[in-house]
Amino acid sequence: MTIADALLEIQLRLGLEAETEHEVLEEIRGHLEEAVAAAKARGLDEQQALSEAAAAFGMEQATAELRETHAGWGTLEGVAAAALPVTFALVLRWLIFAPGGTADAWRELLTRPTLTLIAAVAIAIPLLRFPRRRYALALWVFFWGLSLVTAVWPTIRW
Amino acid sequence: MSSLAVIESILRDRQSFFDEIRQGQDLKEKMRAMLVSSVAFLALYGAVMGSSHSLWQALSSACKLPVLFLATLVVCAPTLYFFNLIFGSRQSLSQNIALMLTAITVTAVVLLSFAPIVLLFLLSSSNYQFFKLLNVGVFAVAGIIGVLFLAQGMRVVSTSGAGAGDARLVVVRMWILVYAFVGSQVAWTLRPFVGAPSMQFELFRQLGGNFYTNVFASIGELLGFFTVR
Repeated sequence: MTIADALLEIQLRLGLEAETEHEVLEEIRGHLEEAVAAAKARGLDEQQALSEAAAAFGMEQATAELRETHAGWGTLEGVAAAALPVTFALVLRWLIFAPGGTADAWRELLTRPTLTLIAAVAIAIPLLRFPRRRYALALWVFFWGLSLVTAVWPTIRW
Repeated sequence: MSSLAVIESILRDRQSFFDEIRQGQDLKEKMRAMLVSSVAFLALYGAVMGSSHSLWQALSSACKLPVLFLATLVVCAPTLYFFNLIFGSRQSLSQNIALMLTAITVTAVVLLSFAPIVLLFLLSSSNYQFFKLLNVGVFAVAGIIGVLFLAQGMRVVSTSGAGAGDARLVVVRMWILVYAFVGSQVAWTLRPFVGAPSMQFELFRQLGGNFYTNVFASIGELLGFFTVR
């Protein structure tokens, strides 16, 4: 048995998204290699060192815990990519630009510095709060821009 | 088990998920997670639909869309249960509801995935009839995908045996028919979800007409045959 075999065994039980799975396996590889090196330094041979490292790591329990910890991360990315930009765009539309519940106030954006400031904060918060949600942020910036264009372009009707 | 982990399990490893429903494993937790995520996703999509009209319509649609799906589930659950019993199934009512919630959850996830696209058309187009038909199309796609999951779930959860496949197919077809009719009627009762731009905000409209004649009228107006008042 080699470290690659041990990682393959873990991979079969993980069932995570490919990118997350790769990150998790690389982390485990690092732990196993360190433990094997330490065991070898104490005079054990390759197989004994690996067996000891695997036992110390607690393969089955650790895999179950990793699976439990990372389950839902992939879906969270997808949900964030769809839900965050839409939510923020609706907040911009109804709560920031047009507190009266109509689209009329949107055209006053450039002449009302307070609204402009709030809108700028509304785009800054997601940028600062969700650095890992890059697709969500890209889409959010797109909707924000589109909202702004349609707000300041009086010929476009809502 | 978190709501998102349940969704990931349905989408990525549905065979295991349906196996667990068949064994009755963690049914309550699964149902709770599916319910929470479905309501959240449907509410967000409802808010997008209603945003073409006004803030009040957005809030109203955000509340009404989850109610539409859950009311349809409540109305149709006994039908699916008894259809299944008649055709030899050994599923409990909870297992049936878990299967239906799976279909609704998948439908809600698909609707959520379409939300940015619908928002794009909301921001860049002002044609009410087009926006309404766009939503009908999105709901049709999401509903079909949800029903495919239901059919797959029933195949796994139903007991096997001679003729079980044919019986299951009959149950699924009959139930889809019932679900579609009940769902469209509940939707018509709870309308408006989009809100006609020429009309004031209303929480509910007066009863009358039906969903299908309204869709055909919208298609007619979009193609220029006549104007819907």
